[in-house]
Amino acid sequence: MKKYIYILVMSLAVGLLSGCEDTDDVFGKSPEERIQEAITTFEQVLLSPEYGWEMRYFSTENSAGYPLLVKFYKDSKVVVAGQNRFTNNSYKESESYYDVIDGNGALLTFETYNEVLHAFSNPVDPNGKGQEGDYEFYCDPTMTTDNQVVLIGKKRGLSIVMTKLDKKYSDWSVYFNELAAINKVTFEGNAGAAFHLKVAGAGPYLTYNEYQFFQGNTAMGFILTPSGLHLYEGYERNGQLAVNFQLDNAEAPTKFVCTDEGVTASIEPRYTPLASYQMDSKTNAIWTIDYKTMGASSTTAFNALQDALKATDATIKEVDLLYVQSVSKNALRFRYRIADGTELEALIYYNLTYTPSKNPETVTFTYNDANENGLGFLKRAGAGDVEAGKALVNAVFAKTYKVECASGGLLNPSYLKFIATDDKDCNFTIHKKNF
Amino acid sequence: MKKHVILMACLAFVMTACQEEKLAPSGMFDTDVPVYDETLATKDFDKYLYENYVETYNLEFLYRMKDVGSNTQYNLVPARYDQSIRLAVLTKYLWFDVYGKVVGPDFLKQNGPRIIYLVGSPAYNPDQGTETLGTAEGGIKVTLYKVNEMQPTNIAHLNQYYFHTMHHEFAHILHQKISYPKEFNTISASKYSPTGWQNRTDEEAQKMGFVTNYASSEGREDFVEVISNYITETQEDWDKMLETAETGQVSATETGKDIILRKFDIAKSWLETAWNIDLEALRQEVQTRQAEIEGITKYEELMEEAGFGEYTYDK
Repeated sequence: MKKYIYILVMSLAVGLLSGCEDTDDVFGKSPEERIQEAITTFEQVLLSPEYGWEMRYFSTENSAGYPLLVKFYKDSKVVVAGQNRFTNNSYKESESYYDVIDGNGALLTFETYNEVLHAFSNPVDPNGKGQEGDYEFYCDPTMTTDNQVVLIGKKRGLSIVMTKLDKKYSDWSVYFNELAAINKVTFEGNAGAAFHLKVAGAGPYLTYNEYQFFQGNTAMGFILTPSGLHLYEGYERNGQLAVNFQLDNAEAPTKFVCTDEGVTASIEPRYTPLASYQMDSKTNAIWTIDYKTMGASSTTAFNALQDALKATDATIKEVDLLYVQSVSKNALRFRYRIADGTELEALIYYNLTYTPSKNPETVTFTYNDANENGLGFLKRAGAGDVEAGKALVNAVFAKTYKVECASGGLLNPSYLKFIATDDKDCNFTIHKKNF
Repeated sequence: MKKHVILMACLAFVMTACQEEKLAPSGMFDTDVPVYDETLATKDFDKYLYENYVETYNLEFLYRMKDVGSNTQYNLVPARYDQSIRLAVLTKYLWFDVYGKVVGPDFLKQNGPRIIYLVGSPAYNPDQGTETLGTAEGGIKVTLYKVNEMQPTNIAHLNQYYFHTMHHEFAHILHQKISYPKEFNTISASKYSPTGWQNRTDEEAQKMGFVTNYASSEGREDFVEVISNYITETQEDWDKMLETAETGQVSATETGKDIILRKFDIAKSWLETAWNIDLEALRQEVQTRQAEIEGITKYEELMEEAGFGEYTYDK
């Protein structure tokens, strides 16, 4: 019996001792050492690029995305640059301080206020929310490459991609200048434009506003960078997920083309430039004619009209193109001031003949009629002779024009250029005033 | 017997052998005295804070926002670095050094908060349509919000958003250590409204016997509001408040002014007996310093003396 007790006790002892391994031996290091190692590694990654990072920042899953440039320094300083609606669309740099801390994992935290980055978090609204963006981030080590690191927002869990900047962006303003050039041929002033997203041959019609595409009321946020357009969540159809796109032509783009491997996708304008203006759709839209930037021939003719009006102490203030619903006609509207300071409005009706979707689009302006004020305007311009006044206006506008996006390509019809088919120096630009 | 002893000794060894644990380098308790890191770009400010707050008042002045330190129910952003410097310099002059002079150098070391924590943005309470100006947690930590909007030479603004708050929160810390007389809470017992105070104007509340509308939320807020308002308001503003209060007839025998002065006497007496604080002397010192800051020159001098002249104004 005693022997069995001894065996039992010794077995117990052996069992206890073998179970008594230091659990740390599984990892080889203590938890404190492991977290410190993770912090150090994360810091080294952040400090690594000589010219800093391009950060593709989104506040929320469906919000607009904005590129920020970020440079971390060893002494805890960080500089963030941006150029977006939160910086009044001007280039802005802001310096603040960061740290990488133990926040249940290695956590990058922007610890003092940065005017560029924290604009996405500042609860400026009375509802106390603001844009609700993150400024504390974990690192997703599975997505880290030599060139890229993916941050995960602490509160929202969004993936924020950071890519090392190339030497050509050692001057950060170069980056934003390139971005501005791309923005000019794509989205600048283009709110409300209609696009067609096609993935594997088909897809939804979208409306653009401030770096978001809308399918009905559902927003799809994206970011525009010098390397292209990047949807935050991507769009999937028939097993193809389209996320990254590039312009098919930098100066005169006609569409965005997907660059993801194995994916056939594009983002194209839904309408041709003139058709997007819906000039025959009987809307209340008005387009301003930029008469101060006309081509040489147009300027000569317009100056002749202005000189004729000046002789009667009248001055043209604005020239618009609009659709007058009451008479179902397109019109040139001249707003002009006479000697006693009174401002008058004259409507001179023109037929606009064009074929939507024809490539290239052309439109022909033909004089039709004028309202009472319009006839008065023509009489004034013609020194009492309406026909003479009509001739002066026709000399400026009554032609056949080829229609182009003023910025180039087909993606941004916010400014349209009309170029006479028989005289390239006879041209003018219009832009949406009320659409 | 010998075998039994050996056996028990073996068992004892086995049982205790598994209990070895490696302590963290810092030991079981975090006893680190915060020191500044001289490799950081902020070392000058960090050194200033160490010498003027940690060493002098046993307090950490935290300007770098760690989200774990903030109330996570709000959307908040950190304080601007330059504003943090200004507030640190002003807080020392207008608050800490006041107690040091009037009550003694060790008073705040022993009784003051251990942490002041800065937050750049307001803490909005959208459901109530209010904002939280400051919080004091457990007598240890005072959090100040809206630092990024601070106007360093506007005393009314400084008091409204920072120093009134600090006096208010510190009074909470003191009464959490030594309770104020229970009779205070009975004076306006039927008139407190924890969820409806914001629907009263200050004027309405004063006529009811409260120094501010927030004072009418509950007894302990009432108590500290009497103290903090008396300290930070000029005599003119205090008298004007009493004039307004006097127009309210709270009972057959008392006006709002009478009620407020009764509360004031209790608060003043408690500070004297519980803490040996002469409220009049404290107030006088605060008022003198506030007037100096409004003259701007003193503010500029303080910033220069602290070594932060370049941060005196926005660039």
